[in-house]
Amino acid sequence: MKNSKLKIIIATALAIVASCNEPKTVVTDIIHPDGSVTRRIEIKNAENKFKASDIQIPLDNTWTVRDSVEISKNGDTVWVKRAEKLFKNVEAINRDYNADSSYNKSITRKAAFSKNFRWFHTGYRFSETIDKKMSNGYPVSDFLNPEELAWFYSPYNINESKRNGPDSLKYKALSDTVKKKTDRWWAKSIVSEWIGGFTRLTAGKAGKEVSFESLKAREDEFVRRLEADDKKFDSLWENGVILKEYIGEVNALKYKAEADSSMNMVVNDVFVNFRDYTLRIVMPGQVTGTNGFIDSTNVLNWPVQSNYFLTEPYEMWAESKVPNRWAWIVSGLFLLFVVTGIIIKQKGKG
Amino acid sequence: MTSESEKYKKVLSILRQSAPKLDGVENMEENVIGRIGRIGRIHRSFSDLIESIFAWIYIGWVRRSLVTASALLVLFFVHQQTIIMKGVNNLNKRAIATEAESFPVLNDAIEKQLMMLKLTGRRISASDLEISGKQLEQILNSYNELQEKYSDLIKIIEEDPALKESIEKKLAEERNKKSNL
Repeated sequence: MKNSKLKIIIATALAIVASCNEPKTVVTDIIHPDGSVTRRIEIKNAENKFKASDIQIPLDNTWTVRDSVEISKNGDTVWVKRAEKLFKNVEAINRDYNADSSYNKSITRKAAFSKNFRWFHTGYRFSETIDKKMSNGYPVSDFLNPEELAWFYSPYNINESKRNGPDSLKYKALSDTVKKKTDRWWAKSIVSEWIGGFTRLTAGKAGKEVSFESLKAREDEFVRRLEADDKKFDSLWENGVILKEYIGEVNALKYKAEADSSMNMVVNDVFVNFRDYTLRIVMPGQVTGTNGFIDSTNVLNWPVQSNYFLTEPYEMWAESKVPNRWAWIVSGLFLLFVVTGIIIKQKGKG
Repeated sequence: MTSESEKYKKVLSILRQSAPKLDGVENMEENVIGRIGRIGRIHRSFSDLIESIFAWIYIGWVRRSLVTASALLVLFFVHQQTIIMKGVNNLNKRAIATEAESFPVLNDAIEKQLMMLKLTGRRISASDLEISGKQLEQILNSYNELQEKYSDLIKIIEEDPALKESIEKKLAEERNKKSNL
């Protein structure tokens, strides 16, 4: 009874927060061999509200827009906005990103395209990169092995189906390990970011004992304290207990304002204003490499979520090739020519 | 036998005497010789062409260079195709079964943000926190999972008297510590 009551309270409280509806957005980039990009956006919302400042991607009146109302599988009414625009090149996309007024304007995004002639084929590479938010955080790859990294970057629904599939025990163990290690990554990055911010604010004022190097040397100690006292960390921090232990009583009193400002900066980095979306890319020719996920329609997909670009840039890339038929013919004729010459020479000898 | 040979000679002499009278024999001869000469010239010009195209086969360094170039071209092709095949094989690991309309973004970021919120003394206002229906579902699932694990743990403790005793002892110690404080 107690449990169900608690569940109802949690659900109600969270449902109130959840009522600020988040539009589900899928961005599809169709890359053309000449470097131009047709960008399509599909935004689904439970309400007929599509303010540009609520959408995950820059969208203005230069786009061709189509609005419709659909009924979802669950029978709910869904408002759908579909927009399309042909960008002459990636620089045009980057110009839109630079003048971004969308919900995700606080992050830095850029697209890149390259085309390489490789005689038998022409190679294409397209990427979208989101810059990291923390300047002193640790890359998650320092904490996870390749298998764990693959799990970390996998979409939730794929991981869930593995966790509930035939090898559930293996995947549950993997999931738990990833969680433990990413908790450590998270804690270390927060502390490192705080040290970076704090030493910047106290630069030139404080002594050697609060220099970047000396605080970094005691970083693990701070992390262990944070992990051990997570339940009462906030009160210990507010009372200055942790700071006194870490930088000494005199410095703690002297630089309390800087320590708090640095903590606020860390909070701002962690609570980045960002709405998740899905990026899809359609490459010209045959795909030869990617770090995305290939669905049954041969389209490349990436989940774009905030923890991917917290401490290192998140690059979504794809490579493809288009065969150069004329090069194949020219090469074939050349080989035939040389082989014939050699045969003639051999016959002459004979 | 003799009569047969005589008959043959007779026929032969008759045939010789009745040979057809041809006009312009000389012209005909010239025509035939001319035609034979043309065929020879065509044959000669074709072999000249072939010889000039493939003249390089008699120049050692050109022959070697062209053979090397062909070998390099073949090697380059094989190398390129091997790299492409490797890349394409690796793509199988990136395949997902269904068409991904949009990925439900459910990760432990929200959980970590909540931890951060707690650690930093709730420096961020609750209105800045956004949570989707799916995330809400995840929290409820986690809650259920935690409940299950908790029940399992209680069961394990109940079933093991030694463990139960040791935990009770620890709890009593903790209580004593707190009362002393």
